[in-house]
Amino acid sequence: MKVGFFVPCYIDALHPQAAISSYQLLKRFPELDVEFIERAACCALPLTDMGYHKKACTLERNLVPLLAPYDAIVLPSGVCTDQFRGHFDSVEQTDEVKHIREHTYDIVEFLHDVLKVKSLPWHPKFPARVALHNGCHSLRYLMMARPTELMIPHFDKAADLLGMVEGCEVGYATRRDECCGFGGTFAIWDAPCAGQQGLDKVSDYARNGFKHVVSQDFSCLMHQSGVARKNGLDLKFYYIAEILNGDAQP
Amino acid sequence: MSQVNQVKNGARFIKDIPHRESHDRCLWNARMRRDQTAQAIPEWEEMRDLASQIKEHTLSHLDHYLEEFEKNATANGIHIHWAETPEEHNEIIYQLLKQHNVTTATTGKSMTMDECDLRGYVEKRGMYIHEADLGECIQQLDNQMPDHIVVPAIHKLRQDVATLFAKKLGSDPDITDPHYLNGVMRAYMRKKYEKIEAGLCGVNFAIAETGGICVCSNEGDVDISQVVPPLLIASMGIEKVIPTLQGVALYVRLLSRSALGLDITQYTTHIHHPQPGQEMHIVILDNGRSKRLGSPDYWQVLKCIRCGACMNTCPVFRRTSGLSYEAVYMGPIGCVLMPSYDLHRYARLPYSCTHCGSCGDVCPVKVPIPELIFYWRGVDVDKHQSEKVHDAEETAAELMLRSSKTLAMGENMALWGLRNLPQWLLDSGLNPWADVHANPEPPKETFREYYRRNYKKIEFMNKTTDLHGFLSLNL
Amino acid sequence: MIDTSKARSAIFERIRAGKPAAVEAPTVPLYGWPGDKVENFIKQLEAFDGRAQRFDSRADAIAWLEKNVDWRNKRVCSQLPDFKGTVSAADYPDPHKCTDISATVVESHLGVGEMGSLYLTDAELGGVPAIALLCLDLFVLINEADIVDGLHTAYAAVKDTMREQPYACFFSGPSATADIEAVHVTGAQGATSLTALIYSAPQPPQRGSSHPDSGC
Repeated sequence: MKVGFFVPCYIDALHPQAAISSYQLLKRFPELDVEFIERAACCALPLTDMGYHKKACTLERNLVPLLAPYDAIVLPSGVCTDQFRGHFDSVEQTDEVKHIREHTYDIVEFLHDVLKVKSLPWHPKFPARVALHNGCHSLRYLMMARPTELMIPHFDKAADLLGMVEGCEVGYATRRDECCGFGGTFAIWDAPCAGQQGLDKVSDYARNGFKHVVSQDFSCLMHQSGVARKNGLDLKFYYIAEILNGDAQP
Repeated sequence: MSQVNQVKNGARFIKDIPHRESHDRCLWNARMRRDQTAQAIPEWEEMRDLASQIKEHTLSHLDHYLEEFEKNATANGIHIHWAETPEEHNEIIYQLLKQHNVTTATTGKSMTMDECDLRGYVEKRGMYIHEADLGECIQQLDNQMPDHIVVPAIHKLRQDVATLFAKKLGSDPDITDPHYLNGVMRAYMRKKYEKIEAGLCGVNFAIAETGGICVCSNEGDVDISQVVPPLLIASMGIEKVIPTLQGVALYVRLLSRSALGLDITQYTTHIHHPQPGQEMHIVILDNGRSKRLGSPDYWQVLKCIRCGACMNTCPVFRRTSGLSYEAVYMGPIGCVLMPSYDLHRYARLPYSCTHCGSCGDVCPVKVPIPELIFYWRGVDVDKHQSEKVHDAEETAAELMLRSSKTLAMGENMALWGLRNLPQWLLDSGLNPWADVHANPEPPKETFREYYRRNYKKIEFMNKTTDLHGFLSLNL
Repeated sequence: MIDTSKARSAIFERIRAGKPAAVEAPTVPLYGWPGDKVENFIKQLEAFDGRAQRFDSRADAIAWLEKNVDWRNKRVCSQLPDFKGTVSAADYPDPHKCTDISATVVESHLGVGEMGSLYLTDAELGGVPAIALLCLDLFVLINEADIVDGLHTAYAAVKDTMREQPYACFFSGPSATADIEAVHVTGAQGATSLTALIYSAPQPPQRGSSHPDSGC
């Protein structure tokens, strides 16, 4: 399977380790021919988010030829995956575009649903209790876990994968899937509210005795870690692939 | 009117810790109770689908069902009036009150009347309508808009209510027990009920098949207003009609559970005729609804049954208060409804949203609120309703994000800034992020740099076919 | 009265011009509610701060009422043939005056286990619904055979008869509010207490007298 690895801009610049761990993790699977899509830039999420559909269109048009050749496009980011799957609609919906939208996966979904990973033979260890933060896009738009609002059977794909890591004990904040307030451009336009939401979230972890927080959306963690440090809370934040690939230690 | 700045309004409420914490806690608890009660019903998600489908069916045959309702209600002895605008709605009701020489009128909570500012309209003409719902009455006495469509005074602490009642109703300012305050209200309203000449109410469901209305309430004020006075006036939007009486069961099972986590409201009342000797009127309001119905991107908003579940779950609403929206409909549904009433005034509301999607998941009739938020942001941009600064910023962003090369340049500039600029500058007002965040630790290299250092050459050696691609990215 | 026919035609014109493509009406199943109907009813009514008393016979229920209704200088309004109050709905041609009632005693012919609700209409309220709203204490007799499982069943039972009633209401506990700091307060503006007297009848109730289908 020819896999295109897409690195979202914020991960490239601010937390490259998330991409490094994900890239190396994908490379572990011999059946995959993994290529970093180096020329692909932003997924246009900030523009769609702000309502600039026309401008998002230019970006999307540029991306199509870069993404279309792959059997699967894998991203280390739930929110950008949702952008492709749910909102890549400023361009004409050609067969190529439809192919892209249907074959874009967040890495957690890709491991869980496409590769159907049941164990991690490289035996990663993370002997600690971790709070799992399912980012809102991963949770409610990609349905990688049951949002607490929906009365459907429980499932949590990220927790399933973390369960394969030796010593890793998964828990949740009390308000387990309340938004932490990142919201992309929201955290800049409405910093007071985003900050309060973030503070409530990191205080929730601290109250529950967590020292480690893991998520499949590093965008949320970027926000949460910034708020935690500003408020002097002793919490460490990890992108999920860092733990799955055995790159992070508590 | 000037554009509402929900962010600024909300920031003030966020700083008021006791009020904000109480608001957040009360409404989050309502959301938790909703989860608990919904969890006990195996068909919950199926019911949401059905409730949504019935609404879609009704809206796509709205002319038919409104005619059927009108015919049956008229046969039941109810007078039906039609209003295109709030002014028409208010004038119809004002004239009715005047013809009946009404001096004392009470009203149970009605969103449609709030939407039209009926109270304000009749007050200007020397008439006073008493809000009979406790929360609405508190807000009326305080001369303030409701904070929430179901619990209008939930942003107030008990001390606030005690102070207000002491000033307006002469109660003891030092007794803040909600039971006492409720008693003060009860005594105050009882005096009104003894001489009430007209009662007003809203409508939760208008039943086409039987020509009756269903109203769900807790306090008894609505029912008293309906059956005691010789004149009853109900007000409803055109979207309130549903086809059958049996259908009410489905909505009643969803409504209060979604709103407050209660299995039902204390009073689930159906009025099909006026009481003997009573005159009954229903005013059916359009106020833009028929136009919304014609918008393929937007008509689904008309499914809303005004339960307030989206407000309870909204992380922004709970922390910033409903008052910060300066609107009749607040929270998520307000963000997507209000711009259709006044695009300029409410252009910024669709941005008061983190896109967490929770509102869509709790909505008992599946109004696609998150999608409608995107819709309005697009409309806002197309019509240039919002601040011009967006344009400059987003053009810059678009230029930067357009290709991997310009993006790398932008990223490098940002990283250079993080690594080299003095802390005071990074924390200044130029960087709103820094108000609430410590800035991130800049990494030593980006992923692209890492990739080039470690993998690029090897992969290139293995794949000489993509020569063109390799050349173009080094341009 | 203002002539609103012009507004009416303008509204209908816009609706007809813009309404979305027809969506079919779904079939809604008659969802039931699991468990023992009467036990569910009591549990739910109590959750709404209502009170429930069970009796082996109607006569026992009436005897209980005689003892437990507050008679001291109070007006007791009864609509029951076998329980005499001091007044009845017929004494209130002007419903405003109902504020002087301390206790109202009526009978319901339909209870709902799912919510602990009691269905009352003008028929049971003597054409003066205010007696159940403006009184202090509301006592409602109900034959346990008249309690159904869930709300869908309840609506199915009254959907053909409700239209005849000016007023028809599912009462679920006494009036209440949570408008101040979400503190639940029982006894808002309607009745401040609601007691259901559930009795079992040796014979099944006769059709046409007390069954909800009867068009009461």
